[in-house]
Amino acid sequence: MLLRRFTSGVARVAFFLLLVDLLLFAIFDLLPDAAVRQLGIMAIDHQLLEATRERLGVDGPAYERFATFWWHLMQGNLGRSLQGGYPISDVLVGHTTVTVALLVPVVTILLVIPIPLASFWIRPGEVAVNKAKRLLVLPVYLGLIPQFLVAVILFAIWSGLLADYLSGTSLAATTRWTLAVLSVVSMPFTLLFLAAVETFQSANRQRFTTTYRMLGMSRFQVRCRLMRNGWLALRPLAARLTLTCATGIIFTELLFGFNGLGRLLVNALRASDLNLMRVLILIMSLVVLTTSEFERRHT
Amino acid sequence: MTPRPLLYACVGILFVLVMGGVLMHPPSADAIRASEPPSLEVWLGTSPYGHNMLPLLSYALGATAAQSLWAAVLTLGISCALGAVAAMTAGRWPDRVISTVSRVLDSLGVLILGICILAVIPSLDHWTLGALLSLIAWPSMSTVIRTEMLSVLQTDYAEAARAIGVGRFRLFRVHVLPAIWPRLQFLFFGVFTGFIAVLAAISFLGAGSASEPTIGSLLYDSLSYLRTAPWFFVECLTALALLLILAVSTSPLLLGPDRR
Repeated sequence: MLLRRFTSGVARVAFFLLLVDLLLFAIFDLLPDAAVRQLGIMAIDHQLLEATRERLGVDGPAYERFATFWWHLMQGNLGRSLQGGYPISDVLVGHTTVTVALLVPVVTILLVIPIPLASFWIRPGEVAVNKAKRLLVLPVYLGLIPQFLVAVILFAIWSGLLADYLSGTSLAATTRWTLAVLSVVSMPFTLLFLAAVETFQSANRQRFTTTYRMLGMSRFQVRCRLMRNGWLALRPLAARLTLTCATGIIFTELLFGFNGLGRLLVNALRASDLNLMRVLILIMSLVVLTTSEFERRHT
Repeated sequence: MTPRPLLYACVGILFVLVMGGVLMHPPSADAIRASEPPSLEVWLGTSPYGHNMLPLLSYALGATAAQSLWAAVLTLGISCALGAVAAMTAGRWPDRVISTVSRVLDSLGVLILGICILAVIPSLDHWTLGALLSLIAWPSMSTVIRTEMLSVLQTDYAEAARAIGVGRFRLFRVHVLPAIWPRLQFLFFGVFTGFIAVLAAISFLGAGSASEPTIGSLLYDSLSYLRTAPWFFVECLTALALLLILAVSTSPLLLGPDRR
C-alpha cells in the first residue's frame, strides 16, 4: 500500500515535471530568437551554427532534442553549459552546498518559530502577552514587503553601514550570513505566521479548546493538540512557501555574494546560457512539485 | 481609516504616473552633470550616468505602473474566462486540463517564467511583455474565481435560473458576475500590486532590454553607488516603495468602505 502510494506520487511528480520541461523547451528552444540567444554570434554563420549545435547536442528536430534531453536526464546526464561547454552536473555540485547551507537555517526557523509564536499571539488578556504583541507587530508585518526589496534593504544596511565597521572581525561573516538568512525567511515567515494566527483563531471560535478541557486535558496538552491541528491545516501552504523561499534565495545570493544555485541562475540568465537555466529551473520546479505532492497526500 | 482626500490624491498620482508612462520618452543623459547631489536646481540630484533623477524616476515608475495595470487587466479577463469554464465544467475534462496547466504554471511562478521569456526575447516592448506575463499569472486568480463561482452556482437562485432555461452565458453575466464582482476587485488590486513587484524584480535581475531605464534596473545599479551617490539608492528605493503603497492604498477608495 505504502509502495503503491509512493510510486503513484513519483509518477505524478514526473508527469508534471515533464509538462514543466515541455513549457521550458518551448520557450528556450522553439521561440524564433532562441538559436541566436543560445549561440550568439555563431548563429550568423549557418555552418558554424549547425556545427556548434551538434557539438552541444542541441541539433536535430525538436521532438528528438526533447526526447534526447530526457533520455540523458534519466541516465544522470544533465547536458552541457552553452557558455563554456562544461558538464552542468559538475557546476551544480559546488553551488548546491552553498544554497543548502543557506536553506537549512531558513527551514529550521520556519518549522520552529511561526506556529508556536502564533499560538502565543492568540492568547487573550495577559498584560505581558499584549506588550510582547505590540513589540512584535512591526517586524512581523515588515515581512509583507516584496522579498527582493527586503534583500535590497538588508544588503544596503550591510554594505553601507556594517561592512566597514565589522571588516576584519570574526563577526563580519556571521552578520552577513544572518542578514542573508533574514532576507530569505522574512516573507515565508510572515505568510506562515499570519495563516497560523487565522487557523488558531478559527479553531478557538469552534470551541475545540473547551471540549478538550472538558475531556480532562491539561492546558499544555490542549496547546500541543492545537499546534498539531495548526500544522495539519497549514500544509496546503507548503508549495507556495517553497517557491517563495526559492525566489528569495535568488535575490539573496545575488546581493550578498553567495555562490549558490540562485546566483548561478542569474549568471546563466545574463550569459544567455539557456541549457543551464533550464536545468536549474527544473530542479526548482522538482522541489516545488514534490512539496506540493506531499501536501496533496496529507490534505 | 485613511482620510478620503488622501486616497483621492493617491489615485490622482497613480493616474498621472500611468499616463506619464504611456506618453513620456526615456530622458536623455548629460554626462557632464553626473552624480550631482540634490539641490535647488536639480531637486532629486542626477544619476551617476548624468540623468536628472526626477524625470528618470517619473518615467521608470510610470512605465512600470502602466505595464502592471495592463497586465492586471488582461489577467483579470483571462482568469474570469478560465475560472468560468472550470466552474461550469467542474470535474470534467476542461476543468482537469485547466487545473493541470494551472499546477504547471504554479510550480514555476510568474517571476521565473518572466525571466525565461526575457532571456530569449530581451527586446520585448512593455505591452507584449505585460500580455505574456498575464498568460502566466492567471492560475491563482482563476482558482479563486472557480471556487467562488461554484459556490454561487449552488445557490437557490442560480438553480432556479437554470431550471427555467437560462443559458450559461446569461447565467454568468446576470447572476454569477455581479455576485463575485467585489471579490474580483480585491483580486485585481492584489494582482496589480503583485505585477509591480514582479516587473521590478525581473528588471532588477537584469532580464529584458538594457537600453530602457526601469525601476528595477535603476535600483540594481544604485547599489553600486551606495557610497559615492547614496541619494541615487534612497530615491530609487523610496520611489518603488511609494508606488507599491499607492497601488495598495487605492483599492479602499475604488471599492468603497461598504465593500471592504
